[in-house]
Amino acid sequence: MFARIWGTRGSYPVARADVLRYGGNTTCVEVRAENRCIILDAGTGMRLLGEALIREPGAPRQLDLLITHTHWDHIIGFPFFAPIYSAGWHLNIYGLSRIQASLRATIANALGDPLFPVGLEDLRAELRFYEIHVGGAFELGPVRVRTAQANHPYRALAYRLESGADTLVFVPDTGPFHTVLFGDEHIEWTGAPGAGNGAEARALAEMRTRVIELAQGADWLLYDAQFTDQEYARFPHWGHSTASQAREIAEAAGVRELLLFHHDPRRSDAELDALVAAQRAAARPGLAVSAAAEGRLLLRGGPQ
Amino acid sequence: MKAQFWGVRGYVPTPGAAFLRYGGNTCCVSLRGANGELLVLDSGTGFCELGAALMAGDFRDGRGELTMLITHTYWDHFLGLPFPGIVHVPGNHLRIYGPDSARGSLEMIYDTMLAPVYSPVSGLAHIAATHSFHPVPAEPFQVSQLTVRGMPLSQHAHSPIWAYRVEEAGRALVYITDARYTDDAIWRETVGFARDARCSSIARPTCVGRRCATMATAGWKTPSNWRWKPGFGGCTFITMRRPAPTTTWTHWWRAAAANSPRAGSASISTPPARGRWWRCSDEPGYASSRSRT
Repeated sequence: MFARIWGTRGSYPVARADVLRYGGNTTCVEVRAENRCIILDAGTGMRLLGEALIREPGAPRQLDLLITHTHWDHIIGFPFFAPIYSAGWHLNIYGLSRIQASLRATIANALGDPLFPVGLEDLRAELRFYEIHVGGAFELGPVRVRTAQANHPYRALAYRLESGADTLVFVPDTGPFHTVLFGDEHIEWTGAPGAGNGAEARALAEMRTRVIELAQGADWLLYDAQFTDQEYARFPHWGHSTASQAREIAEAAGVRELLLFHHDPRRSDAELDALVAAQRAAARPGLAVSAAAEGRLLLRGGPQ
Repeated sequence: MKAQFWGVRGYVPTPGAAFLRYGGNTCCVSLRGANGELLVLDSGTGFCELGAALMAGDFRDGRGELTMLITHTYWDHFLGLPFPGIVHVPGNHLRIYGPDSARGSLEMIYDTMLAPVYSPVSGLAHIAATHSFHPVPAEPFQVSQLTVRGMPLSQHAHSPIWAYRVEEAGRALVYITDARYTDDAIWRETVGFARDARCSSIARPTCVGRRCATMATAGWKTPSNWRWKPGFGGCTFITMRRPAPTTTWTHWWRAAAANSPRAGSASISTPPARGRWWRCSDEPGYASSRSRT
């Protein structure tokens, strides 16, 4: 199994000169195992992946797209993914099952008038939508997939992909597990002390335990590190973590390499270098820390 | 009146080294009037950069005001709106003009875009700055000393598209994107929208359009529809042999990349580059802006 990173940015894509090394496209990661191609999230990086797939001789024509959640930065690459305009491509799309709207309706409503000139019905590839539940596990060819809930507004999924001896864990959007509990459509708890908060605090502790289980022993953990500690104090309600919170989860899970992910759109390459250096200095021995960079190949024993 | 390009790309933002000079952000142009009025044309991801720049001034303290003219609500013209810090500072005021769709008013479309399933903002009610939404008036209207005219480019009920013309002290800037001339009537009307400028002695209107747009010269044929998919809107360069000297081009197709215009267009266009000033108030400004490419 190997993976390629096509998009690392959170919130919105950025096209500035100071983000060239880590990249400005929003989240998208490609995972290959045997002839299976699994795509994690459909941010603008997915456009580049689509162009590469079209050019690749013998590329798999059946693709799996695992969506963590449908906030804009995780779906805006979808209609620019070239294979969906060609017959002969099959795309299985997986996402969180919700009572409010089906996954298909959520994608269909983002496309089409008045927001986009192409509707779902205009696409020529064969699309199938699969709704999955928190904690669900399934197999995609040689890849075993497990899920857990991340602490993010309107809920989001985190994925673990295992094939052979390789494990990649993808947690692009999650807040920390001590101050704010996000639920469907609203914040359930803001960390205010008081009687009756026991259930919320327990729910957060439980969610943290599940995320650490999901990441246990991973070769690569791609984890939300949008904020610095100072920024988090100002924006706890956006559902994103800090680099040090990402490192704490990676340490608790015994991860081999932590890749800081979902970079803040204002964060320059130089600032990311500094964030990485600080986390490397603080990391326990044996934990490698880097920031996810667009174009990087993740392959055990391969180029780093 | 001074114009600055913050996003010139169509469809989807294109980060990367190959797109630095013209820029990879989607549509956004700011206009400053002589009295400091701030007008913003469209809010693609270029608006995120504009917003970051504005945070250095009144907008940081909640005393900022801007008027936004939205041509239509497709992602590449609208999706940047909720991201900059300036829309989350209480006290700032955004007056937003744009077309209502048969599927919902401009305000409803924005609220849907911010729904919990698509955005952590979870709805327009959670945006701290004051927003007011206005349909584009049929008659010209004033933003302080600036005169704004709107013209419906497309009557498609579900996705109406408008063009704008902003005038100040005898100068005009015309902003036309996503034009697809389905019939001669719309073509002639669009030409008139820009050409009237000359007739009324407004010299050298700058047309900012989507790969097609300069209407200031008479005698053109109706451009053919775009090849990939009819209905997307947008025209090709090929039909645009003689643009007016002050025409600038925006809404670059990503494949037309990069740091140089396509061969067929190199001789005719002055593509805008992000962050550069185009002065509409004096002739040397035009000359220098054209010579930079």
